[in-house]
Amino acid sequence: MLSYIFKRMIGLVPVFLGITLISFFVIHLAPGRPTDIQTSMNPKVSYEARLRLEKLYGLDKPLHIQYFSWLRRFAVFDFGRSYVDDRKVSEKIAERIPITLLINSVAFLLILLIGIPIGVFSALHRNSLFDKVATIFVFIGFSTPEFWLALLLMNLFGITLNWLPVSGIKSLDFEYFSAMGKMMDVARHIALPVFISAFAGLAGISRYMRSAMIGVMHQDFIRTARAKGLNGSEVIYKHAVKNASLPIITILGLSIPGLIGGSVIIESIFAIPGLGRLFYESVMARDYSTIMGVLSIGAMLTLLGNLMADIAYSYADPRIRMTGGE
Amino acid sequence: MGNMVLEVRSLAVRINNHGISNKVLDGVAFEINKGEVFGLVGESGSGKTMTALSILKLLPRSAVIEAGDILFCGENVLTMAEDRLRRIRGGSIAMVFQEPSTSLDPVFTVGYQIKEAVHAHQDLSDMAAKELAIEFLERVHIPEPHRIYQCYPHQLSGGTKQRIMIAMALINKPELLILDEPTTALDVTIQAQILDLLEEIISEEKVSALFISHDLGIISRMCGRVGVMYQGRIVESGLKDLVLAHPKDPYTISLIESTKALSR
Amino acid sequence: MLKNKMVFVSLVFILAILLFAVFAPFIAPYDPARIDADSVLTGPAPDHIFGTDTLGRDVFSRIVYGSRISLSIGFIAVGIAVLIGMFFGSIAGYYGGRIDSAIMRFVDIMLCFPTFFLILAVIAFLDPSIITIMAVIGFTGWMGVARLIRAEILTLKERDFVAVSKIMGASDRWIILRHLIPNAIGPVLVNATLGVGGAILVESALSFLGIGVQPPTPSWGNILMDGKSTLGVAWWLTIFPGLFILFTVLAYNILGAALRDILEPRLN
Repeated sequence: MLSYIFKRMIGLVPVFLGITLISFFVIHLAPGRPTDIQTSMNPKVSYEARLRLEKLYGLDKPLHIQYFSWLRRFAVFDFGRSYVDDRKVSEKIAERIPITLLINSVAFLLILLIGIPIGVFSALHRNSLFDKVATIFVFIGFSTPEFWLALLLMNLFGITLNWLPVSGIKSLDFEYFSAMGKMMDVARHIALPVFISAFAGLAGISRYMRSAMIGVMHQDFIRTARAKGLNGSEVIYKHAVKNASLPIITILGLSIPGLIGGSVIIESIFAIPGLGRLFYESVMARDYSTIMGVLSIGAMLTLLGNLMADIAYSYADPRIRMTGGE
Repeated sequence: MGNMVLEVRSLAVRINNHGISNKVLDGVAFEINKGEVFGLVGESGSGKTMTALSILKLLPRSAVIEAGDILFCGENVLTMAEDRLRRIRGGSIAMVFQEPSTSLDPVFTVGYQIKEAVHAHQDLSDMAAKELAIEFLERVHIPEPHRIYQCYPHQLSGGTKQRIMIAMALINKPELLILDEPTTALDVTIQAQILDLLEEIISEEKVSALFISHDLGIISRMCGRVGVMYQGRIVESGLKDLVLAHPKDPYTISLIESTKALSR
Repeated sequence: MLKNKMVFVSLVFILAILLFAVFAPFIAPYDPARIDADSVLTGPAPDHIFGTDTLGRDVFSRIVYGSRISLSIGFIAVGIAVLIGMFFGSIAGYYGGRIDSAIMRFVDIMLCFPTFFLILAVIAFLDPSIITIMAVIGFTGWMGVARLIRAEILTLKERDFVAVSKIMGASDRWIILRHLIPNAIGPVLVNATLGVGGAILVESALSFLGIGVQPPTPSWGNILMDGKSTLGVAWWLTIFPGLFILFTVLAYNILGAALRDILEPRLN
């Protein structure tokens, strides 16, 4: 298995380079020089700022030199300084990442812990009322705009019922809470964002798990398990679920970019100081250095997530974990 | 009556698939006496496997048993309670399937899967179950049984996997062994080895067996009495030598002729 | 059967929205840009069945005209994605070897970018316009189609009819375009149908954030932008456009699932 992981990590190097290339390409999308567009749209930008932008991206130098200096800076996460407040971009990103990671990790766990059992149950009780309701829920989950759901729930739980806060991650008197109180406070603040983030992913995973289970139940080895005289739950939970979960690991890995991307909307609506909201603010302000920084970090986070999903899969599937034999 | 291990009476099974209904078994009847090997021969689609699966009620969801009785040592399998049936499956009646490569769960070691079969029917400690499993791996002539015990199915050859299936079937000392085309999916050289092994086991354990195959040569070698299946019915049955020498049914005749033609 | 009824309802709904888009000037009771300072933020009433917004514009008319935006962006973005995907997928599948590895690597790289991030970044650099939005959604959404086409071609190219064509001297391009792609079209159609729903969701999210379709051009997403600021006061600005997005995307998803059932092998 270690050799597999090693090989995968080597394989990631070209992907990493590709990410740098594509982001480099994005910077140069703007017709004419990025400097012109940025400064001409934003009269507040001073002459020094314009010079700084040129220096940061070396826009006057030939393309390949630009790329290599970009690559060098990417490797150490040096994305220059923000146009909005002149702080280092890497610093701003670093202070925002933990919140986004927290919300997305909890959402991910929710998807796992609720989605999989729903899928298994639906498969075992095909065409029952539960299955039909679950299917409706899945379709609605796929079709609901996240931001709309956020507005509705915000209205319902935050304003009408006043059960949950709808802004920020801490209450005003946060500092006076006990440790337990602080945790509860943060939990109440991220409850809605987590739920909405998880909503579409939940629908997806339960659907895929259902299909995977149905597919596995038809396999020969399930028949063998029955023929051996194993009781129902052994057959299902030991053999069927374990096999059906394998492709789900890969799918869970694929849902990571969706979670990260969705944080833009969720954090903006709920005023959460995370990576997504930073991205949104920098896009509105045309803060190019921060935009590039967040875009690149977002891609790296996804890469990391995929690597972890890969490792998990290679561990779970003995066909990949072990080689050799007779 | 006391000598019959299995008696199948007028078994009728229908398959319903997306509005299309097909009668796959139409009045199948035969008996297997204690200690004998009964062969069921016929082409693919004749209903041999369906018959075998019916005996343990392992038919797919889309299949419905419309009529008939299956008596195992006097008890009707089709009407017995679920947990009595579960104790019979793998315990008193064991089955070996056609495809060894897909019949074992890929995410568990083969040793674990054999141990599972033991725990389902015998009250042994984990250690004892493992020892029993290894003993039976030796019984089916698997070299290095301790190492193979830890292997996963994908690491093993088809022949080895089929030996493991046989070991798993025998480990709870069944009274009836159902063998559904046990060598069809294997290479020719391995086929011969597995047939040798089966012959040896059946005579040593004195277990009764239902041997299913489309190959008249194999049936002829392994069985005492045979039943010829065609389109869901047994068209002819009796002692092997009699049926082969003096076939009465036109299908049996053509089956024998085509076998001869192939071996010319 | 319930399933068939749902598919039928979805088709009817899709048709209705299509009609809205095509015949908008005849269906909308008001000019969507018509500002009426006297009727600001009025609720649903006989003269404004979906109410009015902060500038007194009729919400129903804006939704009707908004369907033009949503559908055109949906179709064209998906069209672009399908074309790009077909191109890369067929070349990767047909030629195999290093070309295949290179293209699939490219797909992997593209999949590493959270799509929404990438779209936002590009629009930030290029400035939002309907054409930009269509192009960006298309350019970031082709990967699925590419993989599908590649998979289909890999299985198809071993078949006899390809060998026969080659013997008869057909060029690679001919084989790909006339033989392989038409056979692979099934899953692509499913993907495209689902993709329209996806594109509508992305466009409305962009417009909601203010980086998509710019006012005064009405889009279901940017009407919701108004809805956010009037939360609790003008529920009709939030509910109606949202329901339209939900039902339209739902209809395409149901249609896509139905197509999948028809075109792809089923399990018992």
